[in-house]
Amino acid sequence: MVMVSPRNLIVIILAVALTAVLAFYFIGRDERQILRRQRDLVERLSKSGPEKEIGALTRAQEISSFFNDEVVLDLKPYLSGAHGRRDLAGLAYHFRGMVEELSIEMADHKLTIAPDRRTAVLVAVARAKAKYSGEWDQDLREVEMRWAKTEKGWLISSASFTSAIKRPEGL
Amino acid sequence: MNPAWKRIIAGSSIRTTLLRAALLAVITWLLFTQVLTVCRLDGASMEPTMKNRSVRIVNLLKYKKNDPARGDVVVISPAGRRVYYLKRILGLPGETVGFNAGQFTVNGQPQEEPYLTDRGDWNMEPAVLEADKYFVAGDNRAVPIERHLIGIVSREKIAGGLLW
Repeated sequence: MVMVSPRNLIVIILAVALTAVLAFYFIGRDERQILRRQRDLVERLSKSGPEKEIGALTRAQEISSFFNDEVVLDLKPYLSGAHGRRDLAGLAYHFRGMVEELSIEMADHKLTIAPDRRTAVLVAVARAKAKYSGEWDQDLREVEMRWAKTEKGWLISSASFTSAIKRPEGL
Repeated sequence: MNPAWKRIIAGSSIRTTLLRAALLAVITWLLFTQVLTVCRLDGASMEPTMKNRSVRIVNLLKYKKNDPARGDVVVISPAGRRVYYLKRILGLPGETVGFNAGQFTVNGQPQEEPYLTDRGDWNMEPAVLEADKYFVAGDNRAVPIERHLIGIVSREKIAGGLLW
């Protein structure tokens, strides 16, 4: 039978706890960063009421900072094509200016990081509610975001709508 | 002797009561994560059969052993367990499906759809379903086909069927 003194037991517990903390910090670091970036982006896209011009411009600038220098979007019917970061800031400013209120929720995240940990794919379901001219409209979409690790952290390199239900060709 | 209020809350033995409560919690958790899930409909795609905002119970085990049949209402999981699509199975793997002025056809044969109140006027060129692919649509055919989420879904995305 192995006898462990109370002092040794405390050391063992501390060592196990430290290993667990370090493992949590290093192993899940990229995952946590990407999910936090995605939450921050959703928060900045949302709008709870009228905004001052300078606030709206700042928000648009912040939104564009989540994207790579060149980003490919396939978010029909809202947005598609290749866009630069400055271009995106303009689009974000214009789009947010069109709505009185906008709330976005993301659920069912599925994140896959490439073995080299330089790129990642995040699939989630997005539910957006927007108020135009006093009327609420809503949309539910599956979104696939591709992320790339850069000097500025994880940035979105492309985003597209996907669907578990595929429309037959020509429909 | 324990006072009456203590006996009502904790039973004759606190330890036994706590064990029973823990067992009940585990069973409830398993039941509502692995077997059943409660959903609230958000949208009019299944009207008039199922009203928008009505609450439904989904059986997550319904298609673990058996394949879905034509006419079954199934839940489709896009990515996880918080959001599902609710649709009716119209076409089965290997079949050729289409719509002609609202009439749904399988391998060129018109199909009866007794759950419909308005057949609508949908048109769709015949499409062949591959193995493990199902054709699904909602019951609300009054909505133009362009605005209705309709199409082909993989078997693996069908997460369960309606219990109620």
